[in-house]
Formats: sequence, structure tokens, C-alpha cells
Amino acid sequence: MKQLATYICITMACLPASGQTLVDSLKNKLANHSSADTIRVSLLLDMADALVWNSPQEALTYVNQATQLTDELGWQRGKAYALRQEGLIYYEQSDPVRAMDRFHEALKVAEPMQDRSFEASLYNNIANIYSDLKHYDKALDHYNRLLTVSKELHDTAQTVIASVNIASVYIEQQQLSLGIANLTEALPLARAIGNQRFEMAIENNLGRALAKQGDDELALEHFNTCLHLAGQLGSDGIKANVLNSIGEILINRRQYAEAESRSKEALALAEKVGALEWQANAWQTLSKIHERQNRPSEALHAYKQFITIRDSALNDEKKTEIARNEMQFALEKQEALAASEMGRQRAITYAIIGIALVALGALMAGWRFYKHKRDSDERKKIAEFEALVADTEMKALRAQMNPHFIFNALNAIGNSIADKDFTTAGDYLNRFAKLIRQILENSEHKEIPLATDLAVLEGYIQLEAMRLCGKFTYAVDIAGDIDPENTLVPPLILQPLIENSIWHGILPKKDTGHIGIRVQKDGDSLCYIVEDNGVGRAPVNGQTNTSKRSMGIALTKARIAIAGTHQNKSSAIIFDDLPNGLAVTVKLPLSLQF
Amino acid sequence: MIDTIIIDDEPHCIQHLERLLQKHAQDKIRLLGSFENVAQGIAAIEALKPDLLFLDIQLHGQTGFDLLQQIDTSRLSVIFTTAYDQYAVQAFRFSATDYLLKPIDADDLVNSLQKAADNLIKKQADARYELLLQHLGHRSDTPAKIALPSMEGWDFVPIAEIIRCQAQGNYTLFVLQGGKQLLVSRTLKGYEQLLEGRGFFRIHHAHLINLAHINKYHKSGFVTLNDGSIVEVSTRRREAFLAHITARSR
Repeated sequence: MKQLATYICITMACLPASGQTLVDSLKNKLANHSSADTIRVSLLLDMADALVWNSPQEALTYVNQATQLTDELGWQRGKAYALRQEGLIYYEQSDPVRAMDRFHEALKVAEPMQDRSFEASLYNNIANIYSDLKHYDKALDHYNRLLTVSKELHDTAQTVIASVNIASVYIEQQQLSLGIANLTEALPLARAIGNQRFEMAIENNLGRALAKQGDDELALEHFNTCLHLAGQLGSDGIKANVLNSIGEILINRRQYAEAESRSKEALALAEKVGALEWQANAWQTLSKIHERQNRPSEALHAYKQFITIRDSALNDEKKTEIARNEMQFALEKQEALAASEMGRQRAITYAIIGIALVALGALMAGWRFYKHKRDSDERKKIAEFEALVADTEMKALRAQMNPHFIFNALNAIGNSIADKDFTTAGDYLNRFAKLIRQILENSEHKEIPLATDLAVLEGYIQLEAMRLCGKFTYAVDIAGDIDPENTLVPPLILQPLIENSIWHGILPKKDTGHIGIRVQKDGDSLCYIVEDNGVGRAPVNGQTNTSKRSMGIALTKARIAIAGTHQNKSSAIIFDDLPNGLAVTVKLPLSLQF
Repeated sequence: MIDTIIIDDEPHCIQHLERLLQKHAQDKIRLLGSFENVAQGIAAIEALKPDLLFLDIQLHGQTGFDLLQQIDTSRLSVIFTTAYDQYAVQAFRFSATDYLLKPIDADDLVNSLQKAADNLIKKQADARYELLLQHLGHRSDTPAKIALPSMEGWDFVPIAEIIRCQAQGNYTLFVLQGGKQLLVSRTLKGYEQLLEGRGFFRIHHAHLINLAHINKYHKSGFVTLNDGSIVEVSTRRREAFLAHITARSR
């Protein structure tokens, strides 16, 4: 026999006594308030609440309207309320699966709101379903959450609900004293807030628990109080239930007539409300009474009625059982879904980790690549810098050549002035200025055309020849296979050599001398040959000539060496002592402009 | 006779020029006076109205260009004198302005005086001074031009519009945007020196090109220019050419 039905589990939605008037008044308000706002949502939900018991389908349409509206408004709180209301409707329609689903959904939506009171009410609804499912641990867990929150919030009504429902679970589990303790605690609270429905439920449950414990006297007291309250509230179902319970106790007391009248009253009320279970209970009690009264035919009739109705009630219960199984199945399915969702989440997590690892790998590879490139860029920069330094050094060397020559030339001009030949000095100066200008311009370039360089060189030689008044003659011979415009040479490489020939080869000589300059090609090389018929490098007047030659020659040697390394080709300077004079050969890599 | 004044802040330079004029141009030049700064120079020009002016560049912290901007140059031939100022010399050459380098060479002086006598110096003088000042950095609101000598005088050509220059003996052929061509009686080498710093590159013995007008470089050793002409890059210039264009594009 279904046990729990005899204990009243209190749900959050409590039907007001004047149900129909409330519905009418709400209909009115809804008609007057047509704007789509939160007030309308509240009205719709109130309406659904009012219709839960009498007309659940209609209630559902109001809830659906409310849900749609909250979605349009984006009003999360309203949506949570609507979900809870929908759950309640399903619950009352014995569709616990959907009810559970809506309650959980409501919890999810309500989470950001931090409305603990609302959450607590949902715990109660969820616990009721667990209780129905005989999942007492889970039911107690949720009821206790409700109790804790309610106490914290000083919400007496909810505290009462929690206590009563916890008690129901205890009683169901035959922990009668715990159940009675909880109910006894709740009773004064219910009275204090003047909620007669709560009071009625508590009195009934207390009576049941005490009767089970065998405390008939006390049980009867509570049943009578409950009966009184049920009468006041017009709750025929409860009345039938309580009357039959009283009948049972009266049997124990052998007050059969009394018991019969109570049970018949219970039967009538149960028939009136159409509660098969309670009808069956009443018939069973009647059968017992008639048996005790020795009225076998009536007892048999009552028993037959009991069996018939019980079977149909059992059918109902079987349906509930099936529903319970279905619900169990659905819950398991949900759990499986949750598990698979978790699996999916885990897969996503792994995927994210995987992607992150790949990205990290790519990043590292990219960094390595970047570093490699940066390093090579750095090396390139260093190389470029070194080239620049070498260039600058070369430029410095080219510039260094100039003062050496300049002072020699200034000496020459000074000599003319000392000789008071001012016209010659002026002419000399102009030529010198032109020459210096050319040299300065050329020193900016690493290489200049051979023709340009030889022009400057001739300018220099002419200056010297002019100063020395025909002391020497000179000739420049360029081999036919050389294009002086297209052949590039470092500027003024030959100047120190010619200067040496003049000052140290020809000048010490008694008669006139000759300087021959030849330019020729030797395979990949360009050869300059400076030949003089001067005194040569042999010691003159007991001292060697070489030391005086050193300055310009050292610079020239360095420049020739650099010119060679610059093009990775050979370069050389070779001194050949002639019978009369000196021949200097300068070998440079042949470099063409075009 | 050509009425002449000298403006130079160094007395010995003035003396040197005076001596040269006396020696080589006594019959052509009447020297009205010599002055040592910008203010005196301007006053003298207004008072004496000379035909020819020798104008030094450095004048006590000011320059001959400052003076040039304050006088009417339409009836006056100006020959600049400078000791060593590559920057100014570049500007002179771009604008085909007459100048003498100090110490002044007699041959160069005679040559310049002949041009003054032939009224060549005054020809299109305003436009050339304008260009001169532009190249000196005084004006930058117009695109840089180069004055190219022609039969009639000078053609002022925006440098950016020169696509390429081609050597033709002692002449240089300028190929310009829009298919125009100018033949100038100067060597390509001179223009190479002048235009090197202006985005030009000598890719061949006979060719100087404006890098801004390169359309395509063929690895076989040719460039296609914007006007469709194909010009050879000589083997020896390729490496330097590539280094140059990659350095520019970096």
C-alpha cells in the first residue's frame, strides 16, 4: 500500500482558499494590463499558480506566455520563476521527469541572481520528487539545504515546510521519534504564522506517526485537531484521510459503531473527491469493523470493494510505478548525458590543451626561426659594419696621402717664391689648387677611372717638372688593350712611387733623368711599372736611400694589399733594382667599370 | 665695356681677381668697385647699376645667396666665386649657374667673361637662380629640376621626369616622361656625377637610369623602364646595381 500519500508533503504553491475569485480577479488585471513588461509576467505566473490544481493545462498556457515574455524582455529572474511554475505544474500532473528538468533549469537560470530564498524553494520541490522516488538520502539532503537557508533568512513558512517534509522522510523510513520531533518543532511555528494548511498537515502527520508508534490517545488528539482544521479549510480529501485514521484507532478501542460511522464518512468524502486510495482504505477499515462486529456478509462485501478499488488504485499506483521507472530511466539517461557532456567537455579540454601545445610548439619554432634570422641579420650587420670600418680606414689612408704630398708641393711653391719668381709661383699655385681639388674629389671614391687618375698624376708630374726646370722628362704609355675610361683603379696609388723616383732617384743625379710610366694588362691583373734612370737604391754618399722612401711607400703597400684582399685577388708591389735606376711594379686586380 | 663690381669678404681674393681682370680683360671690363659684405654690396648694386657681379658665397656669416634674393637679377650677370664648397657647386651645376673656383684660374675667368659679354649669363637668369636656390634648400615647394643647356638657352626639366640618359659620343640624350627627348652637348659622365645622389644609377657604359622608373629587372641582364624601353645592365655593374636597388627598397 502506498504509504507516503497519507503524509502530506507541502509544496511551495499553496492554493488559496478562494481559488475561483482569485482567478477572476487575475483575469481582470491581465485584461487591463496589456503592456509586455515584468508586471504582466508576474500576473501571468500568479494566474498559472492559481490554476495549478484545477486546470493544469490552462496554467501551462499562462506559464508559456510568461516564459516567452521573459525571453523577449531578457528578464532572467522572471524566467526562473516561470520555470519553477512550469515544474510545479508538471509535478502536479505526475510528470516528475519534466518537473525535475524544469526545477534544475530554474536553478541554473537563478544562479547568477544569488537569490537564496528562491533557490531554497527549488530545493524543496526537487526534494519532493526525490522523496517520491524513495531516494531518501537525496531528498533529505535537499530538504536540509532548504532548512538551513530558511533559518538563515528567518523565513518561518519555509522552515516549517522543511521540517514537515524532513519529518515525512524520517517517518517513511520508520524513524518515528525523529519524525515526531521534527513535527513537534514545526507545529508552534506554523501556528505562529497562522498558516492553517501547514498546521493541518502537521497535525495529520503527527497523528499518523503517533498511531504507528501505538500512542493511540495522543494520535486521536492530533487527528481531531486536524479534522477540525480540515473542516475549516473545506479540505475533504484530508478529512477523509483523517476520519479513516480515526476509524482505525477506534477499532483498536473496540468502539466499532463509532469506527464504522467515521469510516463511512471517510468513504463518502473519498468518493466525493474521487480518491480511490482513500476509498480503498475506508473499505478495508469497514471490512475489519464488520468482521469484528460478526457481520460476515457485509465484511465480505466491504473486502470485495476494498480489493476491487485497491486493484484499480494499484493500477494507478502501477502507473506511478511505471512513471517512477520511466523517471528513473530518464534520470539515468540525464546522468549519462551529463557524463557524456563531461566527456565532451574533457575532450574539448584535451583538444584545447592539444591546440595550445601545438601553438606553443609553433611559437617556439617561430621563435627559433626568428632567433636564427636575427642572428644571421646580426652577423650580416657586423659584416656590413666591418666593411664600413674597412672603407673608412681606406678613406683615411687616401686622405693621409694628401698632406704628405701637400707639404712637398708647398715646399716647391715656397722655393719659387724664394727665387722671387712670382708669376711662376702664382701659376704654380693655381695648378696646385686645381690638383688638390681633384685629389680631394677623387679621395671620396674607392676606385676611379684610370684616365682620371692618370690626369691627376700628370698634373702632379708637371708641377714637379715645372719646379725642377726640365730636370727630368716623363712618358706615360698605356697598353692598347686597356680602356682608360673603363678601367678602375684606386686613386693616386702611383703618386708616392713617382715622388720617390723624382726626389730620391732623379734629383740626386747630376744630369737629366727620365721617368717612364707603363700601364699594361697581365691576365687578371693590371700592372703599373714606374721606371726611372736615377741613382737607384744603392747607397749614396755612404747612406742608404731606403729609409727616406719609407713613408709614402708604406702607405702605398698597405693600400695595395687592401685592394687585393678586397677582391680576393692577388696584389703586389715589386722593386727591381736596375743597372741605372729603379723599376717598381704594382700589380692590382683588374677592375672594369662596365 | 662691362661695368663690374666684386663682392668678397677677403681682401686678398679681391686683389687677386682685380689683378687677373687687369691682366686679361682690361679692354673689356670697367671695375666700378669692390665690396666686402651683403649690405654694402646691395647698396652698391643699386647705386652703380653694374652689368656684371663677381659674388663670393661666404660673406661674414651671410651668403651670396642672401644677397641674390634681394636684388633685381634681370639686368645683371652674376658669376659666383667659391673656394671649396661641393654643396654649392652641385647647386650651380644643377642650375647651370656660372661660377669660378678660387684661386681663380685665368683661363676659366676669360671663358666666363666671354659668356658675360655674349649676354649668356643673363639669359633665363631668374629661372636659373630660382632653381639654384631650390637646390640649395631655400625653396622646396616645387619639384627639383635640372637646367639642361640647349640651342636656345636652357630647358628646365624636373629630375623625377628623367627616365634615362644615354651617352652619344660627347653628347647626352635625355629621355623624359611623355616620350620627349633632349640632346645635350655634355658628357654622360658629368651628369652621372650630378645625378648619382638623386636616385640615378649608371648601369652601363652608355646608360644612366632613374631607379624610380624601373619597371622590371630581368636576370639575363636587362631592365625594363616605365616608358617600355629595355636597357642593358653591363655584367660588371649587375652586382653593384642589385645591391643598390635592394638597399633602396629595404
